[in-house]
Amino acid sequence: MAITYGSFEFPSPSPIVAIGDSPIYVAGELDRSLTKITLVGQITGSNLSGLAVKKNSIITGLLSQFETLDVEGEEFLCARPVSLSFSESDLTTFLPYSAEFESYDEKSFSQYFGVVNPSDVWTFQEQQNRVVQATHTVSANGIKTGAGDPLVTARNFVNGNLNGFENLSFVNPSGVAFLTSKTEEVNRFNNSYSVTENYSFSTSREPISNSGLISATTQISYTKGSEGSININGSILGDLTGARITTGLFTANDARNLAINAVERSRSSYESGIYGVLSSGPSSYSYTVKEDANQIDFSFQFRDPFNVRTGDVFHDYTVSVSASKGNNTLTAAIDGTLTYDAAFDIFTGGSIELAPRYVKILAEFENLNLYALAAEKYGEFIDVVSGYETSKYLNPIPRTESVTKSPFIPSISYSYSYDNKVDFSSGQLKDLTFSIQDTLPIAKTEIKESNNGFASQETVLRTLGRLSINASCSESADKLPILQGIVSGFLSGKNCQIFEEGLSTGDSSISYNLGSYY
Amino acid sequence: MSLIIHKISSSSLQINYVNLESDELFGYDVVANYTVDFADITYTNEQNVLFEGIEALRQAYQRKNLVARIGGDEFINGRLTNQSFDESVLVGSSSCSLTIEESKRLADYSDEFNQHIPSPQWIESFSEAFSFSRSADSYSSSRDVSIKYKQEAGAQFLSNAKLFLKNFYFNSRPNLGYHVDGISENGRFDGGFRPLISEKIDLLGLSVSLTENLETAFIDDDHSKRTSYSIDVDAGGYSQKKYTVEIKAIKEPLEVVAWDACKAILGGLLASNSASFGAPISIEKGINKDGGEISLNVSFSNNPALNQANTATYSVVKGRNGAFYTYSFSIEILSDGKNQIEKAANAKAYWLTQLPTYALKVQSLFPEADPIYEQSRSSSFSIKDAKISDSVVFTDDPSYNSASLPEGIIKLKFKNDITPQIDRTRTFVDVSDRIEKIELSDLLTIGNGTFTMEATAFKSKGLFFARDYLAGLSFSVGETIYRSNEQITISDEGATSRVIGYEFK
Repeated sequence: MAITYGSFEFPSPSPIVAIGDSPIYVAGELDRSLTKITLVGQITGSNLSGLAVKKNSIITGLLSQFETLDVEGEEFLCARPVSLSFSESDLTTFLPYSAEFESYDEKSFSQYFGVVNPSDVWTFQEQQNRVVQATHTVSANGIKTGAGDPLVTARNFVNGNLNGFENLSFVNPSGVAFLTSKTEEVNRFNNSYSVTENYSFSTSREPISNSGLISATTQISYTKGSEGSININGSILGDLTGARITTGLFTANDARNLAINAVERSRSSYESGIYGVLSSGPSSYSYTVKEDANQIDFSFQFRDPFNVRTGDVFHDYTVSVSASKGNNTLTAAIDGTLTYDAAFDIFTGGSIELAPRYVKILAEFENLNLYALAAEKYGEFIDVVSGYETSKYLNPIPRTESVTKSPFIPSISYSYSYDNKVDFSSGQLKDLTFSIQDTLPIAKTEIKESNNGFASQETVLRTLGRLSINASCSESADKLPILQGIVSGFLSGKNCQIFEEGLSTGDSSISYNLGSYY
Repeated sequence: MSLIIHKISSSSLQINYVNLESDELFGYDVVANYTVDFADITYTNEQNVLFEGIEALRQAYQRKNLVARIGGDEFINGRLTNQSFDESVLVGSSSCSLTIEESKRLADYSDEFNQHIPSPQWIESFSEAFSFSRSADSYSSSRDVSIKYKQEAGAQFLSNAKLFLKNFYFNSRPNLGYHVDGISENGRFDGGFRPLISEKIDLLGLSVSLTENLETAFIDDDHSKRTSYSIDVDAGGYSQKKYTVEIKAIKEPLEVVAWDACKAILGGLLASNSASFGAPISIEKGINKDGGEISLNVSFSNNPALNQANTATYSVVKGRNGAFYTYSFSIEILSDGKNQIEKAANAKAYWLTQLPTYALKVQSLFPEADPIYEQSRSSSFSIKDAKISDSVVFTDDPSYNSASLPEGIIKLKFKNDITPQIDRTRTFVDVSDRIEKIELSDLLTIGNGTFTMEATAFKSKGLFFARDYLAGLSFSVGETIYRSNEQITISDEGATSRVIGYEFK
């Protein structure tokens, strides 16, 4: 009987053979066995040197590993010598020896042949925000079972079991998972290879998108006397190696819906009286796109979210009504600012005057009836404040006006004031002012000091009356006839004789004065 | 497919009862050792091919599970754990040693754990442990269940484990935990809470473990809350009480539970603080989209300028203008409301109630201001803030006492400038000594003066209403006077004055 190990043939007489099998179970099933082959024999000879030569040939013959051990035609592939021992003898005629080999025996059904300590573990860990973190760890140690590199065998095993996300969770069996990180560990010395993949998936009852893992926190703030605010901060997480996520997965409209949901569902009865429904979209927002991480952080801000709006332009204004008993001219001033208050109409270039937000602001401003707004509050003032005026008449011609257009901000601010002065020009003259000075005709008595006291005598029964009118307005010279007509109107019906007349025209104003006797 | 061995040189059989470190019996393991002779071994494979001798053994060994009848022993799902051939030259070998193991189930299971576990005889290890911890305002409970199947359980272990978890883990919620400390007794496992669960599934090691963990603060039925507050006294001497409440839903549906808890907790805070602090001055809520956690911050203050649904804050500045004092009263009025429209409406309604009180407020701060008369006023209506601001100047100058004036006249002021009579004097230079001297007389000079009337009327009364009113007024300076001139001036701003120059003797 011939027994060989690789190219080495054990000397005659052939050793006797003992074989033991230890089955190896993996994943609940027999996968292969580890066969131990024990050769027990004797070297025979006639002298010490002869025995020594044969002994050394055995030692030399077993110096290589993973050769085929052939026992009378039965092959043990990739056998590995485990031990070789020589027993006591007379060192002349015989030398007992024992050699032990190991060899893995591949079965027809073996799935894990070539690796030891294979591991395939999933963990699923619930987080507080209905996110489950799943971890898949596959590892193995490669062993020499053939011509291949054991490390490659281990890697093939690991890679063969990394088939993406498999939801084995008993508790959360559904959800679209996203690969968030991977770890690879290699040990060339013991041919171990391990890969850990971390996934996250949402079990949200109200998912926003299945194309990304979206988390968000809504911060609602109410402070008495100040405008409320809502901020939404969160992130979109995409697959590490999958499709790139986009900002479209969480839009301003999504933020608005999320904010409405948070406001309404957490609203107590008390809060119903202090802030209403969210009527606007976010006023500003930002996305931080981490391209390499396939992650997008977002932040949305809602400015004064509970106030009523029409359209995307916010009009903030104050009307002030002033009255003084020192004169009877009441003024109603309106100061305001129009700003854009939505998250849309993004500037895409071109003329700043045609920027969509500014265009909307301008259109809103041009539709404003500032006089009506001022008159409304003026009327409320007259209704409840007594002692200054009873008429709600307010001159529609603004007494002062200024408008600031800032397309870069963008905003338009204005300041207008109106008063209740009667417009004697019926809207034809701006800033018409005048004064009337009437020196009344009187009877005059002259008083003189005399040596015996005083001497008095009525010297004039009636002096001439003198009526002087001074008027001015902010107009050019071509409006002078109108101004003259108004001034002359104060003399109508009186038997007057003009004794003085003056006029002035300048860059931005004209004035006219008339003096007459009567 | 049976391995049949009749000729046995020797055999031994060991039965190990499987208790898994408990009183329960999950099954028993049979460990059989045989020394058999090849000559009498037969094996029939799936194709009904009969093998004999050592080849029969080899063929049997190529199967995952062993069905065998050895001597009088039968194995249905045996595991051949050892097979060794005696030392021989193989050709001549005739016997080998075999070790076969098989786990077998009991006829009946009725205990706490094993009755819920499919194929309990295949359990290699099982553990269940609870722990409860209370410290300060925190409480946590956890439950660890771990089950590991023997290798012979095969691919079925996962479905078995899932079945077990359905039958046992989720349905068995014992009322464990014995501490009574304000939280623990409310956090028992049978409370129907929603813990966070971690699962570990070892596909090749055939083990599954589940850990549930519940972390709470004080438990109020379906939610836990951790409440803290601070009391600050600001520079104005007002107390401010700030609550921070961490709300965590611990029952499904978490989001709804958290929202409802937030409403209830806020309502509770309002109820318990309204008597001392009135309405809250700020409310902040941080709400996670999913998962039922809300942070709630509520601030109260006993500052009356802040803690009412309608607030009016005012100040008064006293100043002097000539002989008269002025009292500049400023007030800001704010009201709660859902939006600026409602706030503005509420503020206006409150403003109306405050209007008649302005003079009283001035007099409460300056008791000497009695009587006082309104001199001027400015009212601002801010749309954004829905705020109404008034600035009113009061004066003790009776010229502004419009109550004593006819309808339409809002101001009437008199002024009299007099150059009184004095003894006549004359200076001269005495030619005798060239010194300037005074000549005295017991006669008086002519007196003169200017009497000014200023009036303002409602603009709506017309440009000449005040003029006509002033023209009809008579006046007296206590002497017989002789008018030297009389002039009326009308400003389009509304002020009208009548100035009378006179002499008297």
